[in-house]
Amino acid sequence: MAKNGTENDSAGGTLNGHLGQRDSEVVRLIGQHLEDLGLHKTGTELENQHATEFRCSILTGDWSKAIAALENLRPEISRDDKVQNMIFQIYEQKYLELLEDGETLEGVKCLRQDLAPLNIQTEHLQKLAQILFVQDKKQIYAIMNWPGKGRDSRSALMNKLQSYLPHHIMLPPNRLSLLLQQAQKFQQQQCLFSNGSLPRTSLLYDAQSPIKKVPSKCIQTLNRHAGDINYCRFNNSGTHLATGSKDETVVIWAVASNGTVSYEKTLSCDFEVTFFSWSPNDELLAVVGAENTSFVNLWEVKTGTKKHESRQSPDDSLTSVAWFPDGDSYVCGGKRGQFYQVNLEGHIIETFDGVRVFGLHVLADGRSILASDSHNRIRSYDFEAILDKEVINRLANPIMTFSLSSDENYILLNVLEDGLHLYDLSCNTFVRKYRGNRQSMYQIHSAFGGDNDELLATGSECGTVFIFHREKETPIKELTGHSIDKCVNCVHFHPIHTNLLASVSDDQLLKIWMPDDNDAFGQADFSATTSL
Amino acid sequence: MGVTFLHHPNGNHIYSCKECDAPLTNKDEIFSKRFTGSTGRAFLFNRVVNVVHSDSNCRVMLTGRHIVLDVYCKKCDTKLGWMYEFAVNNDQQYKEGKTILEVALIQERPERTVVHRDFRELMRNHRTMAFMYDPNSEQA
Repeated sequence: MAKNGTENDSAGGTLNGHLGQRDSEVVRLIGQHLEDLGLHKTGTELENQHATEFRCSILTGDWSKAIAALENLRPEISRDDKVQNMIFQIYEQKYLELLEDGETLEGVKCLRQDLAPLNIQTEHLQKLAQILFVQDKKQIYAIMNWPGKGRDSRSALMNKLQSYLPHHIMLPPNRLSLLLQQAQKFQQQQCLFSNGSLPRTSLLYDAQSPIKKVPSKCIQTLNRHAGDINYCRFNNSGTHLATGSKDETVVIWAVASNGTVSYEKTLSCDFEVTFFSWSPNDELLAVVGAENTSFVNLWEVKTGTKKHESRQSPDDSLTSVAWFPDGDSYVCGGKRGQFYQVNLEGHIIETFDGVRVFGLHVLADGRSILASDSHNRIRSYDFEAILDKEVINRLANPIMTFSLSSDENYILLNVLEDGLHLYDLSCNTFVRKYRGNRQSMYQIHSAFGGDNDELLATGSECGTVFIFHREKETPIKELTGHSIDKCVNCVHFHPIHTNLLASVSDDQLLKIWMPDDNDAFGQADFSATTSL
Repeated sequence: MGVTFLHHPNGNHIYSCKECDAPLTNKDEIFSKRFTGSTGRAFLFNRVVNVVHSDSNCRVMLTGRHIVLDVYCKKCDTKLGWMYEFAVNNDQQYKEGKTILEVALIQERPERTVVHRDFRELMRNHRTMAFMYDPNSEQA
């Protein structure tokens, strides 16, 4: 402890002669920081006396004194070759400075008497000897990668030498600000919102996470349905929202530019609506029902009329539907093994029999169709080539529903009784599991949202909407408002204003959520005023 | 309440709940047909889906003391049978983890046969050949 310096009483307070190790380190760091700022030492010894001498002489260029101080420090340094390296570097600096000053003879002396006897780094020594003949200073700088005589190169030398010395002799440079930087970085990492613009932080308080951008308050509660609402989805251009319910209707809502939603029309199907899909141009809505419905209803949203009902056989069960990107056909399937591609007139184009389909999604390439099935897996189907390819292998528990990020790099699975699973589609590998919500009885849909799809939202059987950040397995926000113990069946983020969230639940309510900070929402540049 | 998620046991001969037709298990999962429940005959199955379990009870049966969990249909909550959790006698241990479903409470449904992979291969080849064959070409 003596080496670390002794406190004098002018520091005040209740200091016994012995500080704990952590405390004395902190004092030394503070002393170093003060000195760096130019404030004068008050009387505490921060480091070994010889080390101070060593540093001063290096910085002033007094080489022989530096070597002497180094010899005094030799017992502290564990390995002899380290000392030799240090001496070599000191003499190298001396040599280069001599050359710069034009003192070639002195330089030769240095080479012969100081550097050569050390007998190490002989190749480097040869290089040093070669530049003896170089006239131009600038070339010397270039060849040796040396900034030139002066405080800069000497400080650089000091830093290099410092790395050889054990820490209790000399403090590493800038130690306190380095530690504080690390602490701030750690805080920012904890924030989990680091995609480019990091929040400006002060040392006085922890970095505030911009939770402002996460939906947190319910701005609207809409009560139009007379039964459990099973599914909700914004259309692709974000102008409308559709909700499907057990009361056998689909309600179309118009979305205003400030995010509020208003009733527009009702489509009366005559079966419980469990799922639907907007066509890519948002003109049509393909609606399917519960297990025993054997047809797909195609509605024209603008006029609110049913275009037609596509049915093949009354024994069919069609519970999932997805559009192809060209909007000319859609694929539908169900638990009894039907899996077909149907065109807009209702005629089957292709079939892929024998798959008990739970969920469907067509990728942007227009050929691969992802389908989750009863074997707890997801496969990719190519109807034209009649090929199938395993995407996600058999999980322990069934995959209830799944959704993809907008760049199709990630797929989020709602797994029965096992939370949400995130998979990376580029290599079909598991990434992360998200826990907290309860899904053991009912089918719950989840969604990607937020900037860059970094947020995930899902419903739960306990009535709260869970919001996760993609990098963190536990929820960052739990939105309460729906009836407790009634299942929140579906959530969906607005495709353009990715901080706007819609949620529907068995309590027959549609709720719209927005971030606390209205600025985070921004202005819309789509127009919902076109009448539908 | 919501859309109850129902899994599917796959297979050809599906057994489902008599009340609500929720699929429970299939013929391949039958382990033994020689059991008796309160309503009569019962089958012992390896794996059953779409059921919920009650708390465990200790029951004395013809074969000895067992710890069982009553099994109910997930969709309509009717009692279907029970699942063995622990058997006191060593020779009854094979039952552990398996489920008994009473025949009177379930119905058998031969599902429409699932198309096999071979058929798909056939379809694919047929397509390619149709493509290659050109009736207007000169070659015979």
